[in-house]
Amino acid sequence: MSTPLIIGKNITKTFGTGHLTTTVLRGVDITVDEGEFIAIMGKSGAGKSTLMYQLSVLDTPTSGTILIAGTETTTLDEQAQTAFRLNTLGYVFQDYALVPDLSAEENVLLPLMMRGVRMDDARIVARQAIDSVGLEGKYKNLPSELSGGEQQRIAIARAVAGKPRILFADEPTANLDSVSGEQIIALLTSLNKDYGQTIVMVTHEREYAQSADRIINMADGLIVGEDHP
Amino acid sequence: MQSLKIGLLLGWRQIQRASIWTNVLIVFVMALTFLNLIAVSGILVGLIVGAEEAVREKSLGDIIITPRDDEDHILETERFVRELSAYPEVTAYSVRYKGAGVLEANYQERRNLAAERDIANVTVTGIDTAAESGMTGLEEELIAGEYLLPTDEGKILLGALYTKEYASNYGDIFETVEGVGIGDTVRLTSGGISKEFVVKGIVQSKVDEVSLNTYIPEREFRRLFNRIDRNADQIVARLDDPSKNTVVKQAMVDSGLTDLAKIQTYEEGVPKFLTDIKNTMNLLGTFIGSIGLVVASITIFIIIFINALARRRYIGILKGIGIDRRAIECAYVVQAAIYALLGSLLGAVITYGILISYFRRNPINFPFSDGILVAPIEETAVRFVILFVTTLIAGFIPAWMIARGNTLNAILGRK
Repeated sequence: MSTPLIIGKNITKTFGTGHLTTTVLRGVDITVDEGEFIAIMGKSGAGKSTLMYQLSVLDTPTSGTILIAGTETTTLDEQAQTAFRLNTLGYVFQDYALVPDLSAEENVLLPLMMRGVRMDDARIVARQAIDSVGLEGKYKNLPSELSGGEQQRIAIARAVAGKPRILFADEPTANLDSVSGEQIIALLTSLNKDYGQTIVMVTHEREYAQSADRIINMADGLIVGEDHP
Repeated sequence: MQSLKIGLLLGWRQIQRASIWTNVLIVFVMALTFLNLIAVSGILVGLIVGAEEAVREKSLGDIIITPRDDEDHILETERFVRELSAYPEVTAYSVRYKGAGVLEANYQERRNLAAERDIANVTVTGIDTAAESGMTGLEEELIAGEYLLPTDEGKILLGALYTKEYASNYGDIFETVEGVGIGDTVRLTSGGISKEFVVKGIVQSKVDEVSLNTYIPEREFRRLFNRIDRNADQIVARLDDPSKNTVVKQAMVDSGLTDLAKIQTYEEGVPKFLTDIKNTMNLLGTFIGSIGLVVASITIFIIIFINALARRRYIGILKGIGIDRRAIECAYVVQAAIYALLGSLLGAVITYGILISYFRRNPINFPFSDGILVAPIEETAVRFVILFVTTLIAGFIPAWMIARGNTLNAILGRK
């Protein structure tokens, strides 16, 4: 029997104040098991990215509870949220989001250093992570010297180098050509299948979502169904 | 500690990746600020220090001996002379006799006895001509004529500011005699005794004690002023190392000489108004420098603010992946610190490597002094610390403003 790693209950998110409010999430209940790879799908405005931001502790829901690895995240203050993200979560953003001034290696070792890993050890781990995404020897390259696909792979290396409990990927293939997109999905799938990495991915491309264990479909701020590819 | 390490890495890399010209410009601005802070007050103070040095060099020396407050003259002057001659630190000294007299010129051509006499109230100093020259280099201050010889009789050196021709540049503020040149005869009167002197030389210096003075050999002075006791009015001495003057003074005090005269170091004897002006100039320089400091702080603030604003999304992403806000703030403080350090270093090199020696060689020509640049290391260090701390604050505030924003809004580029 699998263990729930994320338990979200009655999550709502409302933007604006007074009469000018928009409710984007309307009481979402969601559970993600450890080692599971889920894809959240939906049309634009369905609330899929907003849901991911709440689950990934980048935002705080208006109401509801989110329990991640036993921690109630909605009550954490800003500093505790940052520390929680550092130690428990990994992120892959749509547009890679690498720090342009840092080399590929430095981008990957930054969160490790923040965790207190010694620079030399962090460098070794970072290089291993970069090797694992197939970019051996690109350690010193600046992001501007890498292709979009390569940058996204470095972003994945950064996300997984610290062995997070959950990897969140926000439309990781949106800015990539189809070949690079497939490579990224293959990489994520491999992380899940080979290493048991729990992954929550938001995508609007159904063909990529097929790699997930479960597809959560959203519409108008609610989960309207699930598929098991 | 982790925040500091990451801040150092991020801050240093940002500087490394920034345009070289941007970096040069910022460092240049910081160097100018440093110069503004150090050099402006340094030059203002330098005007007065230049005057002080000139007074020390041309008039007062390192040790000044004057009559006690309850005496008219230095008692047992000969004992002081013997004492000073015995100190190995004393390289030169001069015994001076001082009095007030009336200098009259053009009296031989005066036909109308009812007309105004061409007179000026003057200070008269009786000197050992060789000793005075060795002590203050009075001979070098001649602008016309020749210096007095020990054997001269009836010869006088006039301070330039007692002659109308030289004093006219300063308006009508000095008492002067007119048309007096080398070889002209003047009459000096004191206490009802008059004596004619031939003007042998005219001396001019930025030190008023020289330019507003008349010099005659001590022998003639004693005769004119009826000073038969040989007790002088001022003895000044120069040391091989001016900083030893407290030691020499203490030795003289220990010898019991304070019963005979007042003994002061130069620092004690320097006219108070010079010290007051120096402090005022220092304050003025600090005020002007502070304006520069504010401008530099605003410059750094704007640079860091624009930099942080342009990287707001990356700041959000860094926070998103778990980098502590303090590390991000630290990165910008590190940048500001590096700019401040490099700018100050450049400013220090310019100040100590170029400007100070330049102004030593080419002092600013002021009527009352040769202005130099004064930048004591201790004061410079204090001002550097002020500049550095101000810059750090100017770097921290914008970073703090941007970094404290909502993480998700920063990542998504929302306001």
